[in-house]
Amino acid sequence: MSQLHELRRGSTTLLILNVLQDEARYGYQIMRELERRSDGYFSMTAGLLYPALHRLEKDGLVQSEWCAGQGKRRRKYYTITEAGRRVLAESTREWQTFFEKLSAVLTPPLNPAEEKA
Amino acid sequence: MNSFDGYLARLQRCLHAFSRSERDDIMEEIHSHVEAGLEDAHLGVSKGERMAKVMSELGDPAQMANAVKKVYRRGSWMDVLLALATLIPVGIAEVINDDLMLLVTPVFLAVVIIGARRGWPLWSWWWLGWMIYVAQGVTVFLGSAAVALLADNVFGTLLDAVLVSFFLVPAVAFVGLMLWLRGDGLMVAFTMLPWALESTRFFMFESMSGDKPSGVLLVRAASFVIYAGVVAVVFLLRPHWKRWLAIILGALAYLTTAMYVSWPALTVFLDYPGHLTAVVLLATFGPILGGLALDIIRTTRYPKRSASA
Repeated sequence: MSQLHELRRGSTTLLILNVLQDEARYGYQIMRELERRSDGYFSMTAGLLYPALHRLEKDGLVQSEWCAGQGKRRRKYYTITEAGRRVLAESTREWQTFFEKLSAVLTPPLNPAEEKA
Repeated sequence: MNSFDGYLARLQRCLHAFSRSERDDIMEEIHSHVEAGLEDAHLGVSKGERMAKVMSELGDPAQMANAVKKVYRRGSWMDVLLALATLIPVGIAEVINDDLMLLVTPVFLAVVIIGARRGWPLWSWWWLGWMIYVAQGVTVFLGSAAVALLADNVFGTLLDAVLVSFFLVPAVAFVGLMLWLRGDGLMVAFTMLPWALESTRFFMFESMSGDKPSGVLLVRAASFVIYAGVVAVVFLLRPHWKRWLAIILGALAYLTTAMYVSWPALTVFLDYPGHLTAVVLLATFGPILGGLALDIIRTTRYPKRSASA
């Protein structure tokens, strides 16, 4: 369970950048979009999301801008940067390779009879 | 105070390592997050339901603050070391000659400018605290002519009061500047600690004529140890009350040591040592108690901000 938790935490950057690759979003939208795409599997708390967003911004992978809402409190929108897109592409490849190899290891090998058939 | 106001007040207190603008930025983002949640019909039918769901997703404010502090490396041992670097030039000036503080001033000024350009990192506040001597030096220098005039006429008896005001006026202005920059009672009291303790030294030792009491260097050494301890606790420890305790106990410890060393000499050289002691107590604990009051007010009442900025 804790290993899975660590795996999820490790994928935070990839998940956030992925959600931001199509359009600029604010924190709450990112959280809900992640839940929607994963059928609730990736339910990130605000305590994890906002520090992660600040870290990504500090690393230059996203940039933020305050936008005033109509009669509402202004919201901070995050946009992926070019550096962020490069990191996203690279991370996506790495994770895909990881899951392919993991899947290959976890899939039970065919027994010799099945192999001949 | 509802649970959300309580959350914001706690978060604000945990973000003491950030400047006012940085803290406001983080607070407003969280405020906006909750507002978005309250508008989200998927979270529940009633507003109460939605609020409960959003609050459960926010988690512990202290954890959130610590995670953000880690991102910006606030409140680390490096902060402590950089802050305590102020004690080296002050200590050298103290041992060799007090006048060397004039040479140290440009160094302090340069570091404070670097701090301002970097968005006031935590360590820069301690350096800023020492800068009050520049303001006091300028005030005393400009006011020396006035003092000389007063000393020669009927107002001569007010001389002591004028001298005290030369120290207090820049201090009050400085506290105002701190509040404006920081808006955080703990950090104001913390930043003013060198001033409070150094003022003790000034009033206790420098205002006495004749031989200075023995043990002055012991008091200075004790003050440096106390400074270091308070800085480490304020930067690194939680919860919040421990930081306040460190500041108050630090001031008390220094004051007790200074009084112990200087009281015999004070009773010899001054007619009313009690008056001087009262001024010292006011100078030391005034900023601290003021900061504490402000902190309590801000902790119990998170200021409401306009809906759109």
